Amino acid sequence: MKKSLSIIFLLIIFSIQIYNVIAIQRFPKPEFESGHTQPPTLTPSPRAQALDILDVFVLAAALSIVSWLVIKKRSRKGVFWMSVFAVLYFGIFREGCVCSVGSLQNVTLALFNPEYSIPLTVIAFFILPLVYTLFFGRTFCAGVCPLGTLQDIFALRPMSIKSWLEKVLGVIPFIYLGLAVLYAATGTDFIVCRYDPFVGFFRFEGTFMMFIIGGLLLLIGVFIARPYCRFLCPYGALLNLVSRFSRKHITITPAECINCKLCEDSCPFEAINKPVVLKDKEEKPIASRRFIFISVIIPLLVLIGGFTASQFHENLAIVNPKVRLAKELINNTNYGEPNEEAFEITAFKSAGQSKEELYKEAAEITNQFYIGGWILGGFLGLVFGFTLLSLSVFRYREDYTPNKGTCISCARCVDYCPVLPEDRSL
Amino acid sequence: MNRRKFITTIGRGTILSGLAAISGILIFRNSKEKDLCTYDFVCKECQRLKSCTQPEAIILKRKKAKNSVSNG
Repeated sequence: MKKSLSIIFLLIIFSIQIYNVIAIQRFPKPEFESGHTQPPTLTPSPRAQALDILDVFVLAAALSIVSWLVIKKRSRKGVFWMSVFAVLYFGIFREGCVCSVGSLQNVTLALFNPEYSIPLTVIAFFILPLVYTLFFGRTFCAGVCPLGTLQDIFALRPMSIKSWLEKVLGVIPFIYLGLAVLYAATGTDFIVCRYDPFVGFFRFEGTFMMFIIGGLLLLIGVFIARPYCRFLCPYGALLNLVSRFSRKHITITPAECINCKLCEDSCPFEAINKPVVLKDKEEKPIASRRFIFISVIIPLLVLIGGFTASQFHENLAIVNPKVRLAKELINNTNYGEPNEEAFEITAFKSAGQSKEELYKEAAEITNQFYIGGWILGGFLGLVFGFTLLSLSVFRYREDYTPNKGTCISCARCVDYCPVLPEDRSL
Repeated sequence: MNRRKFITTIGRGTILSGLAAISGILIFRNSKEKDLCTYDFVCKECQRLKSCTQPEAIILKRKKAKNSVSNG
């Protein structure tokens, strides 16, 4: 019965592909008589509007179901099957695009560049997971994000890593987030999509490097659960911040914690806050003095960060194709091509734009990077400052509780808890 | 309500307002753009040229600005 149900379910999913015939290209692809053939694209073909709307509904439904499974049902099994669905639907069927992780770049570009028209689907993919996180914790990461769920399936032998290393590596997503926003805001590139390690698996095509990096991350993920989510994902960094303010969140115990310690090592993401023994309590004046000291140096860290990053604005700007082209023309280096003219230079010459105009444009973009460098560095200084602050503050806990920021609500820990909701005396 | 809960509620409200504002701005811009152009690519006589963000309109506005600078 279960088998036939799953076959029917898969048939329904794949039959939706038929709707792709509604997607009509506005302009037909040009036909060349020179023997030129259209190169294969790495981006998916346009989707029908009906499918776009369906995607938003499926996203909302998946988020609702996972949130219900996590908060009400407390079912790890349910979350696992939703993970499988997410890989099949959002990953393979939708070819991993548009995903919420990448959508943050579209939103940034749309905010900084009014000429860019952002589709409503993309706005929904950016906003909906954030709203759900604000109310129910990171249920999106648990069973809806195809990147995370794919790694989750591979987390077979998770090992624990040192908490200081976890903290240090946990800063990387914020650096990646800052860079992604900077490059998207300046219209340079969507680096999160360009270096998406798993999209090749979803589309069954991609560059060799894409498969190597994706494969390596999955291999690492067997031992260190969800390495991309924890130490790279920029959207995860946003969800980490938002989740701290969530209205409801998964709890390890359905009732009062009995401190049986069974759940202590159940989390492969080191996201369980352990009780702090009362004898460790330090004197309040010392803790207060340290708190005030770090609070005072945070603005200093912001300034130092801003100044440092702004000094690297030219290095950051070189990724921009226009800045690169201008530099190649000024230095006459021809993109390192020794024999024939680089196609970028040929294209520039045939476009009819003067060199002066290009240089002016490149200077404007470089200036944007200078301002962006200040903001990026300031943001990173703030992140370092708050990380220091969080390390210096000791919270006294009596129970085992999930860390609201780093917990991805996978519901693994709930199976370890012997406390029953009805039986509080256990 | 204790201090921690109060801060969380304020934070949640702020984030929710921010998200609503971002969505509002983006949706408003999209809807505005759709109303603006009749897609006949004739910008010169268009009444809405000043606020139009279509590529053709931007090119024409740049040209106009350049001409006005060179004419003094």
